Amino acid sequence: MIDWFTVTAQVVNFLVLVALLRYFLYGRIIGAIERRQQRLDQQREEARRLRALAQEELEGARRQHQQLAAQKEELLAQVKREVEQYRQSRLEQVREEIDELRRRWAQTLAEEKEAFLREMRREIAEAVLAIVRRVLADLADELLERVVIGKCLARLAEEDAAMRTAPADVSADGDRSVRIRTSTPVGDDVRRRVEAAASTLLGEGVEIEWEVAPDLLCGIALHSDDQKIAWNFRDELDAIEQEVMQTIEEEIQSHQTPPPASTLSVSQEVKR
Amino acid sequence: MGLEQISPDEAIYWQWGWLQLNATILFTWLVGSIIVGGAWLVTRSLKTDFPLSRWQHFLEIVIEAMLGQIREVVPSNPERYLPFVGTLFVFIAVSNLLSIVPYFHAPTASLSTDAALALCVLVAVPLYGIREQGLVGYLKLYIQPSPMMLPFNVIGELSRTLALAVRLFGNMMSGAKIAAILLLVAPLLFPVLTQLLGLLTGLIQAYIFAMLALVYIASATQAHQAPTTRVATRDPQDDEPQPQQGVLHDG
Repeated sequence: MIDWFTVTAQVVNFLVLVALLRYFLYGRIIGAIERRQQRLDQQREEARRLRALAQEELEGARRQHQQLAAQKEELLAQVKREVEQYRQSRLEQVREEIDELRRRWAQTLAEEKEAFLREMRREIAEAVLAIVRRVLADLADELLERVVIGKCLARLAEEDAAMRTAPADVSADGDRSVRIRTSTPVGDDVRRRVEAAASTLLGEGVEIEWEVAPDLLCGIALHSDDQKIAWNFRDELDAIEQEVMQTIEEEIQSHQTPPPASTLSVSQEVKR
Repeated sequence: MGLEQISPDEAIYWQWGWLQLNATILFTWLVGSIIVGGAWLVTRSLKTDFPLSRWQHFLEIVIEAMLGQIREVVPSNPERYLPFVGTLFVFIAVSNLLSIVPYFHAPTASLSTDAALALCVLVAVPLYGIREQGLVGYLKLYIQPSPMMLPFNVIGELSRTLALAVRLFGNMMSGAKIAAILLLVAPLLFPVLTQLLGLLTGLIQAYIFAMLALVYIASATQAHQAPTTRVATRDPQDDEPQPQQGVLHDG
């Protein structure tokens, strides 16, 4: 039943087959499987690494995004604050500028008003005085001048000692000339009365020089070297004018007022 | 080869002295050529990247299945036993499957072939045992559990080799002969059914032969390992499932 030659041959055949399959089949297939497995392991490891890296990158990106968002909010809030501060400062500055402009305007207005009033008062006074001067000039004639000179002589007689003694002193120095000015030529009687009065006042032997001066309007003026005794309309009007002007200046100074209340109300409206 | 010829050894095509070329050797060469040629054709252009060819898929599935079976019995380093056990399975399976081809005589239907395979197993068992445990360690197996058991162990070693050969021969020879007899008696339907049954029986016998050889080898290489049942474990760090480890059955 058993052919031992065949058995031996089959053993050899089987061993040869094992060797051939070990080389051609098992080794190659297992090698391919292992290489593929190794490759898959590498790919999986690479995928894990990449996934971890991607996760890390994602976390980093999220953190960065949050930081950027926070910075954005902060910057936005800061910009808003700065803009609000700038707006408030600009508004305040504009208000101050407006107030300053209004203050200057009010001051200028007040100054102009004051100057206008001052000028108007001065002009009124000058006009009044000019009218008075013209009226007096129109009224002045020999008769009136005679009356005035009479009044002057009467008053000379009643003057105090200062008015009389000073020319006497001057006369005592040896200069005894007196220049008498009248607005119109006077009559001889008047001349005699005046010269008599002058002699009484200045002493005897005084040299009297008569002169007609229409600018006196009406009245008389006695000029010695350093003294003057006068009673005429021009000097009186000059004195009155000076006094009126001084009174006007004092009144303007006493009536200077603070800026009108309307300025403040306008400023408050601008702030609102 | 006629019906009266119970073994293909008796169909001698060429003889020169004691050297002869019978059907068993010839068809063994044919089967071996088919297997090696197919393996060479497929494995000459193996690829590690997808997509794979369908034949590479097929061979990988077959080899992975065989490795899985071996791993169930021998968990450690199953690739070491694959060439011997796998070749046993492939050779017997292809031989038995090709028996459906007309005028093909399966080499496994010859007792000489079965005896040769059994002898290979008989030699491979101590070789693997000595390789794994050393000569002394392997020889100690024969006096386990007591030296009194030495004759029984030796007898058991020989008898199971004989049983391997006779089991395969009986199944294969009977299958072929029954088909031939039924062809004479009822030539229309029964031979087809018998041939189908023969295909199933042939695959089962190939599986049984290879598994028994593996169990014998495992019993020689892993007898020092007391627990024969290994619980399946799974490494949570690894995504790939570990092969299922089952109970080791000694034949």
